[in-house]
Order: sequence, then C-alpha cells, then structure tokens
Amino acid sequence: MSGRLAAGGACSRTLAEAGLLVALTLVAAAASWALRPPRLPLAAERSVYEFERKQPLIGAEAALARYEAGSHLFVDTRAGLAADAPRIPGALAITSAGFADELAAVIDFIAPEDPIVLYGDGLQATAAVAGQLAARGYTQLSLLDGGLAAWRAAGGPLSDGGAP
Amino acid sequence: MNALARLSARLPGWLHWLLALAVAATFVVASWSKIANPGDFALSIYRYRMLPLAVLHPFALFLPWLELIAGLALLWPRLRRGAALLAALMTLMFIVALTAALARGLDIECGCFGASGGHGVDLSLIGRDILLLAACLPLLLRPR
Repeated sequence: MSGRLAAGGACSRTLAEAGLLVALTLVAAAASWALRPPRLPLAAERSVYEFERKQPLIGAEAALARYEAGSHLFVDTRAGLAADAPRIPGALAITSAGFADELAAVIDFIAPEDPIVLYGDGLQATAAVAGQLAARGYTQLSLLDGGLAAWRAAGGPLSDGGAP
Repeated sequence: MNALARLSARLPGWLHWLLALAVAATFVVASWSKIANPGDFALSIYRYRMLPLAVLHPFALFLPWLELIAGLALLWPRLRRGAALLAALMTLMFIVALTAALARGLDIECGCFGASGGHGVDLSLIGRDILLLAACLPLLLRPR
C-alpha cells in the first residue's frame, strides 16, 4: 500500500516537474518572440504555404547549372541589404516588404512567363516573395534550397568576387 | 513497466549520467537552428501535412524552446524525470510524424536538426528516434 502511495507521489511529482518546464518554455518562447526581430507572424500566411506545396525547391548545383546556361532570371529576396552586399551577379532585388514598388522598378526585365530562381537567407522570406509573384501570374518559379549560403558553398559566383 | 523500473534502478550511476548527457545533447543541438530560424522550421513542419495552418507558427515557435529547456533540465537531477517525460513524449511525436510521412509517401526532409539540407525522411530516422526513446525511459523510470 505504501509502495503504491510512493509510486503515485513520484508520478505526480514527475508531472509537476514537466508542467513547470512547459510553463518555463512558454515564457522563454514568448519572450524570444517578443524581443527578437524579425518576428514570425503568429498567423501563418496561407499563400506562402500553398505556393510551397506546388513548387519544389532546387539545390545549389541545379541553380548553378541554370545560371551558367543563362536560362533563368535570379531574384534576391533578402531585406535590408547594404548596396555593396554580395549578390548573385545579375540578380534582381525584390523583397516581401517592398514587393509592389520593387517589382514595378524592374518590371521591364521580368515577365510572367520567365523562368525564375528565387533565393535569400531563409526559405520563409523567399517563399513569401514567390507567393506574391505567383499571385501576379508568374508561373515558373523555383526556390534555392539553402539560400545564398548553399550557393556560396557550391562555388557559385558572387558580385563581390566571392569573398566571405 | 515495473520490470523496466527495476532495471533502471540497477543501472550504475555513471551510465545514468551518460544517458542523460546523450539525450540532453541531442535535444539541445536539435533546438539551436530551429530557434534561430523559426520560419524555416515552420516550413519543415508544414511539409508533414499534419498541422493546421492556424497552429503552425505558434507550434514552430514553441517546440524548439521545449527541446532546449527539457534538454538542459535533463542535466539537473531534481528535474530530470519531468524533463525525461517531455523528451519521451516529443520523441514519440517525432516517431508518429515520421511514420505518417513515410506511410503517405511524402518525399520531404525531416527538419530534425533545422530546416534545410537535412536528412530525408526514411526508416533509419525512425530507428534513431526509437533509440532516443529507449534512452529516455531509464531516465524517466529510475526511482528517486
């Protein structure tokens, strides 16, 4: 009887510990979300994910082959870049936040039927721009998996000559 | 379960610590890049086609922190059993998600240690998670 009571006590103590850790996690996750920009919006944007379902990612080797063949336009989706930040040479800059104005600025060079490779630092921002382009009727879009880091690792050319 | 608890009680202390260290390291390392890139982790989770969009981002923000905090708490004997319970439940959830993805023939990356460039979902990952679950059980069942 006392053994069972002890087991019950140990069990509820384990649950209490787990509850305490979950509470700590909630506080840490909320604090990290609140204090560390850029914040991931709490509500997921449907267009970003529905686009992602249809468009497979491509690896850096495949992207490099498309670049060397000159068959695709490249779009840099990174926000807040310095003017001299390394880019894939010839890439157009279109970010999610400045989408309408930035697309308008390069609209003569980018048609809805053009095959396009989008890249950035993270897939979320890249997929967001791709979703916006898809909504404007652009159909041949692919996302560079691993972003510029994967491109660099694959030996792809950069506008600053590839210096780290 | 009683037999497992008795077996756990007989494990030498150093082996118990070694198991705690191994499980803790796995969870802490796994949490790191997901905490740094919650958006990419959300995309990894989305590809499993299991979670509704409404809870996708809160879940992607919460889970890596739970991995980190449970992982660290495994190293503190006072909280070890609670942390081992959470680690075991998370691992069970990973096994269910991987099995469901395999059963439905999804060709995706696991997202286990971050978003891109990861390991494709296959049976070896399920085996790895079963080992991880097996390592959690003695930590959970060892008498105080």
